[in-house]
Amino acid sequence: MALFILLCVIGTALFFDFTNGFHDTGNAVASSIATGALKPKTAVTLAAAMNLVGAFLSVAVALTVTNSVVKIQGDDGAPIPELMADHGHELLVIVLAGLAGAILWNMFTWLLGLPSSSSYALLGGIIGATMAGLGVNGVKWLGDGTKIDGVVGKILIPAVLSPLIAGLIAAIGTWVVIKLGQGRDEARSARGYRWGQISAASLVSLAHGTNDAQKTMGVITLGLIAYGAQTATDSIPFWVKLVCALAIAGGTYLGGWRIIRTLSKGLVEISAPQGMAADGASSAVILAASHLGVPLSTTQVASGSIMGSGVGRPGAHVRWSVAGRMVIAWATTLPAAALLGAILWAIGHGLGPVFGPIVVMGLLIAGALTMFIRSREHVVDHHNVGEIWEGAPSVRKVK
Amino acid sequence: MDTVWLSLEGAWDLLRYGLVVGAGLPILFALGVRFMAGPAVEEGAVAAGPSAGGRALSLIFFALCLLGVIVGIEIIVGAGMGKVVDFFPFPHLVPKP
Repeated sequence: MALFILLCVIGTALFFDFTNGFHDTGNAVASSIATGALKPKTAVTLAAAMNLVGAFLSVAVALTVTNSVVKIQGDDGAPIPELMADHGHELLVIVLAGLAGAILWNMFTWLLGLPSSSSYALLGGIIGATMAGLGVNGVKWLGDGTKIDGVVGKILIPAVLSPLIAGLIAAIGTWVVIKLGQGRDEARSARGYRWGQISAASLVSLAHGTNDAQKTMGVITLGLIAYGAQTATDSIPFWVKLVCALAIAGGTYLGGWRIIRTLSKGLVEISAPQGMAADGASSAVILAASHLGVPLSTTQVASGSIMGSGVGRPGAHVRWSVAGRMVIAWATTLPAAALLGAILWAIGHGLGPVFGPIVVMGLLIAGALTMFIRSREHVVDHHNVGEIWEGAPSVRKVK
Repeated sequence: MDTVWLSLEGAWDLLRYGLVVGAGLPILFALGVRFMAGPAVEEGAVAAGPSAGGRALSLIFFALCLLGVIVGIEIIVGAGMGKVVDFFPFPHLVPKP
């Protein structure tokens, strides 16, 4: 039965990777779509290609994905011995429940068209499942203080500060860029901004493929090691790399149109110079953070930049009610995914080694299907993504 | 030094460097666009386009932005390989310290 649960973990990890793709498409392409720099389909195709390339750029092993927030792996990334009994069953149940919780939360926020962080959903799910499985002490809240670590350092503080930082930078950039464009030929200027936007969006997508696909690769490899199918902690099998790259690129290509719509039309109407400044700010903040080793959420940075660009453009009207809904989604992502992870762990653990994982998978599939069916009642796709904003893409029934 | 302090320090660095490149590069790019676009004309009139000097200036600004993109790609490739960019004497990849 351990093989069955390993297969469940691999399947859910790839499913998560796929949701990660479509949930985050908007980060890179929303403003390019809004300004018309790229046609919607062209934008998601470009983003998907960049994610695919980015995923294959992941040469290093990101096996210690969970180490910053929970204590289920040792320093080298191998699972702790206490969880290794019976082909790593305990560890696999924690990871399975965490992934399933993260997927359900990602699907729910996608249904509501809210750009919440996929990475925080993943970590939240794992934190919840670990707390349920190992107790509060299984979670690393603060770290030992020698580096930025723990739930507080890796999630809570960046979640509050990074969108504000990105927003401030984008606001200043937008204000100056618009001043510089005044009195110049508009058509020619727009063509120029277009290339700036496309370059910045491509960088965001490439970085996304490298960072986010790497996390799923790490989770699957962790499962393989726990099960005993692999012993090396310094390499990722090629097939893992391939399927993860395809899953995230496939998700990106599908396009999370509900979220793209919120980011491109819902928060603020985006003009060409403003879109260029917003994308420039997003890409620079994301890459500067990567260089400095400061953790952040790509989604929150991209959303913060777009909002900031609205604040920086004189006369722009930021829809604060939409922004408010988004901030609520940010604040609830970690606890909600954790709660889901904990409940699913209790089910997966409580119903025994055979039925537990089966029921968890059943609940995951049922939940995901339900939300998918609800989404069909009010379809948002590349045809209507740019329509005039008349309220959030809710799940209200179409009259 | 504890985690909270380190995180705030990280955020402060992000704000400083982020401002320089995150607002700076779009502003340089906008300068390039400004000189390339030429002055606005009355509706219906043919756009004058950039002067030779304007074109040259704009190419300089675009080249600076291109350098920014190249360093950005280096950071991404580095992240994939577990390396970091060392800026001196020129941006190149070195193993993570």
